[in-house]
Amino acid sequence: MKILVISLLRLGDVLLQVPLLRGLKERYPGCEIHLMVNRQFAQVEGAVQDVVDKILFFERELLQNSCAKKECNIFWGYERLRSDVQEIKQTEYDLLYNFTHNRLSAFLAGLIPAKERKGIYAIRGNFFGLSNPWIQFFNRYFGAPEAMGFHYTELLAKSLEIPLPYFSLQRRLPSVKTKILIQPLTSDSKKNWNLKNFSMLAKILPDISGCEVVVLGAPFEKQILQGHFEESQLKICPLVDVIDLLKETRLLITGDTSIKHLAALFDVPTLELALGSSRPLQVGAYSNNSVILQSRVECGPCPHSEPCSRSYHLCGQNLRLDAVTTAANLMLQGERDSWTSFAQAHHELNIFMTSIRPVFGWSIESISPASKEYFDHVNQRKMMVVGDLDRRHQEMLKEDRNAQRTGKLPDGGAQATGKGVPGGHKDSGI
Amino acid sequence: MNTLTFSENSEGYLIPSEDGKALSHLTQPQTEAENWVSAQDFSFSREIVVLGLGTGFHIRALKEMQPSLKVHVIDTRDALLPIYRKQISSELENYYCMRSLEELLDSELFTLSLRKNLPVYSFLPCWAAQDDLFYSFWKNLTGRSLYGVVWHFANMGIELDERSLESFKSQKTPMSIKEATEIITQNPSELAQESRSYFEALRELIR
Repeated sequence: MKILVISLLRLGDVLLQVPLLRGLKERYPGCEIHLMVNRQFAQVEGAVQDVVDKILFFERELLQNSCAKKECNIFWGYERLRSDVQEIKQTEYDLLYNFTHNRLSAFLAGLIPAKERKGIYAIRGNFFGLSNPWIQFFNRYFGAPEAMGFHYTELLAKSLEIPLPYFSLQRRLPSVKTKILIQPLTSDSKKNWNLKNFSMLAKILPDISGCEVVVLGAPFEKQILQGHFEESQLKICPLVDVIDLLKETRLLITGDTSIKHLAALFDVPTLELALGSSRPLQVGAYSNNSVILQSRVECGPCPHSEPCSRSYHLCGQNLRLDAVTTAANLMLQGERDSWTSFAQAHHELNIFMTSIRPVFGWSIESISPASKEYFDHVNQRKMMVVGDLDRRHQEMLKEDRNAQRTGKLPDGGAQATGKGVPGGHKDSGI
Repeated sequence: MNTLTFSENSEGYLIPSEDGKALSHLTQPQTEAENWVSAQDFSFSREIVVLGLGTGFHIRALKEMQPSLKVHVIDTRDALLPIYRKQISSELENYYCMRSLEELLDSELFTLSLRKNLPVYSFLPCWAAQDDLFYSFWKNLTGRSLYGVVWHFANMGIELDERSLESFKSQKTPMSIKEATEIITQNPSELAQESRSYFEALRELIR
């Protein structure tokens, strides 16, 4: 069986979707998975090679430039896209999954034939694949500021009817691995914790943990990082080199970055510093092993595409070095019971722990006394929503089976100007 | 008719001007040309069109810095060619003198350019006083005119009726993939409906 998966969002989104790819491999043993990603994220190949058999590249930047650059004929992009699609059509796909869930991917998914398509696709101006109540829920609530208790990965899995692999309930015990990784910079300065704090942390941690501290950065970040960290601690490298490092890592400390999603794939304990527009409640690490520190400020989380609304970085200042150091130490010691007293000592923070459980799925547990009751309520509401949507989904599948018997198609598609068509999944918080 | 005059620079090169506008840098035409070539993106095709012969330094720079490029050069002024041959001493295999838009649209070069979707580069100083004419060349050669859009769709086998184009006839700004998408999605033919998703996908890229 050949399966094509279209995943055209950013690097972190692709990494968040890896559990779904693993789910497909489990569901269809022996299947061949071809994954289409944007060319600029070719580095993801190293992270998915155990589940993906072939990577296809969508030439997003080239096609975008061809439409925008004044020297290009505006029909050049059409010829190139048509040629690329013709090449893909050489392979006969049994299944096509659209993991991207936006209009661009829907048009592409409609152009590539497959025996069955899952997720949205568009043919001749009509959008299909929107009748699943889980997809409708995903459209309505993902990106909303309130916590619904659902992680992006599990919402996508439900929308596409992919069972997610089960994670062990066991929390990681202190291990013999020797490294602590720090990823200080994110894609957005308002999500960054102060580099001076990270610098102090990198000096303190080796003494208290006995571990080697490695500070990660991409090549374009080298100059900034060299101003704050010892050369001997810096590891400037592409993503594929980080994978080997993660296998020796006892703890990752990071902001909202794609490295945290990569770490989750290798079950590396992660301490996330959720600042600025970070939305850990929707796109925290999909992990059984993650702790999130979030400043309790009125202005946060702030909108993704806007600059910080304050003259100083309030959420960053609120997150003190001693709090992060203690939290890192607690994670290294694996002492769950000590988190309660940590939370009581740090009312300025929301402290969350993630876990993945059978039936319930991913959940976020608040350790902070002030918000514990609220998140218990969120998790309870999640169970009710799951029950309701699962029931409606089963009814929809029953109707589909009846329709197939009678020859009537239930999903006539939504018109291009109709409701329920996603405008674009631009903000996954990555 | 615009008047060409020539002035000699300190290195002995004749620099043409048209209605007082120099067709290249007066004192450093070579550096100007090299900088222009360095700033271009040639990743779309190894066969290109250049609008403007001017003094010709940019054509020589192209040959030296991008020797594998096949270059078609268009200008409106025949008088520039002898100066180019004398000063630049470089072969100019594909030179076309087009004095009007009609001449361009009737030419084999126009058909070739659109059929192959050749990229069109503009050395703006040598447009000089003929901005409007070179601009119309650029619009048509890059598919950004109504004529160019109609040509491309006809080449795809999609005929457009006049009524569907009415709203675009008065458009002053260059056409883009947005307008092309609007045209094809509204066309009821089988071929147009089969092809529309390509344009709709491209339009999403520039939203």
